[in-house]
Amino acid sequence: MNNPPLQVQEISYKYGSYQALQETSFQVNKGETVTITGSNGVGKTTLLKCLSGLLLPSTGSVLIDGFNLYQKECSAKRRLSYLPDYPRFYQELTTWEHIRFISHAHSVEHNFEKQAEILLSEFDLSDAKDMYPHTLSRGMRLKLGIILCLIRPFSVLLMDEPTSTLDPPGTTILCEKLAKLSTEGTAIIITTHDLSLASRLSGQTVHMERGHFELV
Amino acid sequence: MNSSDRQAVLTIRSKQVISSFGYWLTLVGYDRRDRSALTNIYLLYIIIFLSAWILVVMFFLSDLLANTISPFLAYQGIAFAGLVPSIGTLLFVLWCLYLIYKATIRSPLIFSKEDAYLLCQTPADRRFITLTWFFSEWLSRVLFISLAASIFGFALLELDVTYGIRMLSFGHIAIAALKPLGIIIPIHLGLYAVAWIIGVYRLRGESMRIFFMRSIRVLALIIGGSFSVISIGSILTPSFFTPFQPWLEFLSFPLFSAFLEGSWWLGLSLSIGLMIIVLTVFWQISDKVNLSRAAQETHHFRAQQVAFRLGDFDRINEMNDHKRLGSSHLPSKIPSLSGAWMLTWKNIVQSLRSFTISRIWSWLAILFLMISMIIVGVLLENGSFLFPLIFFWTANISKKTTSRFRKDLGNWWLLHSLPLTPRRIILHDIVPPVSVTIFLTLFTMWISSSLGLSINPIIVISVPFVVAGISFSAIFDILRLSDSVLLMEGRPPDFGLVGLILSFICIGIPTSIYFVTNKFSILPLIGILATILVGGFLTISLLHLSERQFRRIG
Repeated sequence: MNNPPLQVQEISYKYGSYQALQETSFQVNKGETVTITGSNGVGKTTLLKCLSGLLLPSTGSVLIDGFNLYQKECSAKRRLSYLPDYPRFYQELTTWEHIRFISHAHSVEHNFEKQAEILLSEFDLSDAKDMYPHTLSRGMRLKLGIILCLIRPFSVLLMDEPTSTLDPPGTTILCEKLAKLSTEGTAIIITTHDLSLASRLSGQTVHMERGHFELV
Repeated sequence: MNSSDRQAVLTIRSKQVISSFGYWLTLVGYDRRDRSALTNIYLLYIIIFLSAWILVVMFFLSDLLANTISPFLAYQGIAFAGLVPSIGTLLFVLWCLYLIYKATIRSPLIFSKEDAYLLCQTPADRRFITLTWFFSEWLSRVLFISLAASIFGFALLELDVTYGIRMLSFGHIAIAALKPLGIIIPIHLGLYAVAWIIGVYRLRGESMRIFFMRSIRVLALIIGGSFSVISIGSILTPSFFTPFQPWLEFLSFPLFSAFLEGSWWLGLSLSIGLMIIVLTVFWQISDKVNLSRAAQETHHFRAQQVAFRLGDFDRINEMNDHKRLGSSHLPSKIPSLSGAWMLTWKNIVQSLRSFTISRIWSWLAILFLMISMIIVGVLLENGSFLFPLIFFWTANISKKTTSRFRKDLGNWWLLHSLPLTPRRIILHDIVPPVSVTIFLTLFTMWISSSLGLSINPIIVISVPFVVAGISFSAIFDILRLSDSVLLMEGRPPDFGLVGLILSFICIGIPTSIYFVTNKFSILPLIGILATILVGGFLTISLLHLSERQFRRIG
């Protein structure tokens, strides 16, 4: 069976009576990158939350490598990595311990320290590895969130405005990482307001307008 | 500073004061946003009702005070009444020294983070801002002391009336309150301003003031200690402290003249004189206050005040934890396993780092409640006292055993991303605190039975099911009330009425089995088996319901 990494079947979402996401179906194939743009409140974050399982859609379903996200959640979550726009962390764990926790919880033990050191160094967080999240700046917290997403295996990567508070070197590193992941076959969906980022990432750019898509 | 700047400062401050006042109005059901006539009538009703209620409570307290003082007064005469101004003076001095001590550490001007950006960085007149903040803070603080002084004034009036000196009239009541207030309010304002002078002087910013402030702190401690010893000593053994008597009489003269005999006008003049001198000094030094520094020192405290008003104790705990944790920590050396066991590893690391004495107290509270329940239930056989104890015990267990799970829900993004079933997540978070609670409960029962109190085996065997049932009931209710959007903001709900009702069902079923086996003389073994079966079924059902609810969050 050769399922596409991400299949979205007729999902829609309503906040009360407000239709935040119109019914939509699409799929993202291996190595494809989709950048979603659109003004505030059009439903980008809602879409990613539905795709990550954080929100239960009003209708439809999401399949990750053929596994239904709401029925076979463990199998689906092993293959799905999601970064929210404002990641929160455990206040009693340091940067390093967060990486250890997430990687070990996903059964990544072999070579984890080397991988973690590389990611910390690439995102310029090596000096902050023993720091608690509440002492990190917003940009540093976003970088920690990105590292936690990348430290474990996945076939679908969802990122909600990952460059909103990143410095230019951080953005460059992220773009390089995404390009590499894409060539390795990962399906990627990113939301952003930064049109230059959209142009830097190869793949499709779609524009969202009031809960539905338009291909740019 | 022009008048529009002043108007802007006054607007900001008045909005803050009205908002804190509005908090109390919200508690009595008044909606500030509703401008309808009915709401205005309700506001008028609240004001009249509360005024009358406060007055009645004041008379009640003054009556209580008069009745307490009366026998001593009859026995020891005016010498006893003279103690009151002495003790009042001691309390005033200690209160002022405490404020001074605090002002040497933290700014008396309290600003929020918003103030720090909107107000403290503007070129607004520092003196005007300082004085506005000072008087608005003072007004909220003088209320309590004014009420206390009036109550004491009423008590003294009642004692006069009791002794048949005069007939009570409205004029007498008004004078009984206004006479002490006339002196106490200026003294309170003056002493409050003394503490602000120290705080404001510190905020003027020269670095050499660190040593000066340290000296003031030490001096405040020495004066406070010495004055307490002298004041209390001169009450208990007056002959030993005779040399200090003139000083004490001088210091307590204003309060003596406020409440008892003595020249009231002289007392009033002294207190107003003190107030004018201190306020003049305050006005003089309040022109170059570093407001940004004040905001830096106090925004954390202000955030805690706001969180407290909103009842957001999780936020207060979080802020305290941030303070205690500091900025960094070496990686934990606790060995970890992969998969779901990482949750246990994380919980251990978190528990060790957030360990405080108050967290032991909550476990001890469960222990003490259990002991009390055994004493009341087995020894006294008093059902009416047992019920409130069971209620508090249940609420405590629900709170304690779910606190880690709630914290994890507050990091919903991370928790949700784990490739674990809801059952494993719940069990890994719940099993350690539930096990400790079961151990504490059984330990208490064992101690009680060692002391000769007989506890039915059905009750003993039901403990694990009851504790687990209470915990799962709370978990189910928390998950039922959870909303993905709020969880993403780190705001997990607490358990509510449904959780408590389910918990009582978990307690009620084994209790019913116990009563049925006792009443119909059924073999205890059947009762034990029935408890295991029913308790097990209930616990598993609640776990299953919690799992389902976990999947429904969104």
